[in-house]
Formats: sequence, C-alpha cells, structure tokens
Amino acid sequence: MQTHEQAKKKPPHEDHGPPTITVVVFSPREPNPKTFTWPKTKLVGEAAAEAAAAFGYPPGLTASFQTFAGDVLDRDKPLVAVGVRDGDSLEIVDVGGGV
Amino acid sequence: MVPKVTTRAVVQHEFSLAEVWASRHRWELALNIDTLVMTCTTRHPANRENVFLNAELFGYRAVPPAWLCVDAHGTHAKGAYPAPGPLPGGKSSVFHSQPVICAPFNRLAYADGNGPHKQDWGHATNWLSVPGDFARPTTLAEMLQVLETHLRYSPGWMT
Repeated sequence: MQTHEQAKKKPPHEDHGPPTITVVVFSPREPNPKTFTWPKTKLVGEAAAEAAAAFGYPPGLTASFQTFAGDVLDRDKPLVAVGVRDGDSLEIVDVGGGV
Repeated sequence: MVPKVTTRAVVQHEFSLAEVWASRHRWELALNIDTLVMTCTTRHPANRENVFLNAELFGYRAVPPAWLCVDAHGTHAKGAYPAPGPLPGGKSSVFHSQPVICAPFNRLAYADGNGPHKQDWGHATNWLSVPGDFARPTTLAEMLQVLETHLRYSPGWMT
C-alpha cells in the first residue's frame, strides 16, 4: 500500500497520465490511416496541420479534425480540452468556407 | 478538352478512394463511368431526409466537377439544396441561395456554369488556383468531406 509520503514523491504530472496522446488519423486522400503522438496541450489546428502535411495536403489548408461521432473540433483549443483521448480515431477535415 | 479515356481513368482511381471515405461516413456512392456521373446520397442531419448530390465529371480534372443537388427523381431543384448555415469561425456555407454549391471545386460556380463568380474567378480551369480563404478540396473524396462538413451546419432545406 502506498503511503502518503510515497504519493507525494510522484513526478508532478503522473497523476494526470502521460503528457502525450496517440491518435489514429484518417484522411480522404489515402485508404489507410496514420498514427500520431502529440502533447495533450497541442492546439487542434496545429496538430491537424501537421497531420495534413503528412498526408500530402498543400500548405494553407484550414484543417481541423472530425470525430467519428461527427463533431468538428475547435481548431483554437488544445486537444485535451476538446476531449481527445489516447487511442481516439479522428479524420482530417478542410473547414475552409464557401462564398 | 481532356480525352474521355483519360478522364475515366482519373475518375475511376479517385472513385475508389471516395468509396473508402463513403464507407466510413455512411454515404452511398455510385459511378456511371460511361456518362461520367457520380451520384451520392446521404442524410440531412436536421431531419434525416435524404440529400442527393450529382457530380458531372466531364473534363475532370482540367475543370472541376459540376455539383448539383437533385430531388428523389434526379431533377435539379432549389428545395433539394440544404439551407446555408455558418461554420465555426463565421465562415460561409458552400450552399448558396442561387441555388448552387458555391466553391472553387464546383464548375457551376464559374461563368462556364452561369454561376455567381462570372467576373472574379475566370474560367473553371482556374479551379486549383482561385485566391481566397475557401475550402480547397482537390479530389472527389475531399470534396465529399467538405460537403459533409457544410451539411452538418445546415439548419434545414432551401425554400
């Protein structure tokens, strides 16, 4: 059984799980997904841009992720803040507008 | 214009990727390779009624597809179009009240299709280089993804 003193000696973030999450990302461009590991605090837009580049999208895409429940994630929020969890599957989406 | 045999080869390749995307998103797709028309069916999230989209692919990829919303009989009709709803961040919908899917990836948005961008976008052959902050899909599967995203924010149907 862990004593109070032992618990206090844990690294500061251990109680919150590892600081990264690994997700499976699909793209309309390829039949097979790719796996990425990012800091939980990485912004959705930054992670999506990184994934888009890996799938060969040209720079400048307004990229985000869509969950398989259909929700498009807010590009300006950290992954952890929009509920992305380790092992989740996401799809790259172009959220540029129409005219 | 692009030889039909070339368009068919390109379309068949892209359609296979579009089918993979469609299976993940529960869309139904069919391709008539002779007429170069792809038909697409999904559900409107507002009331679960069917949305029917046709992509006429003559000359693709020199020009983008001609995307149309049609009714259950295959007739182009304003009431077959989802109503526009803004995307997060205030971005405009591709569903335009003309009615037309108004985006660089639709041939009908240009002068060639008597679309709203007769003056500023030039010929539809410019579709991969139209300047502006628009959705930029460059393959059939990516176009379906953009249409699905905009459909998600549609409050209902055009009247």
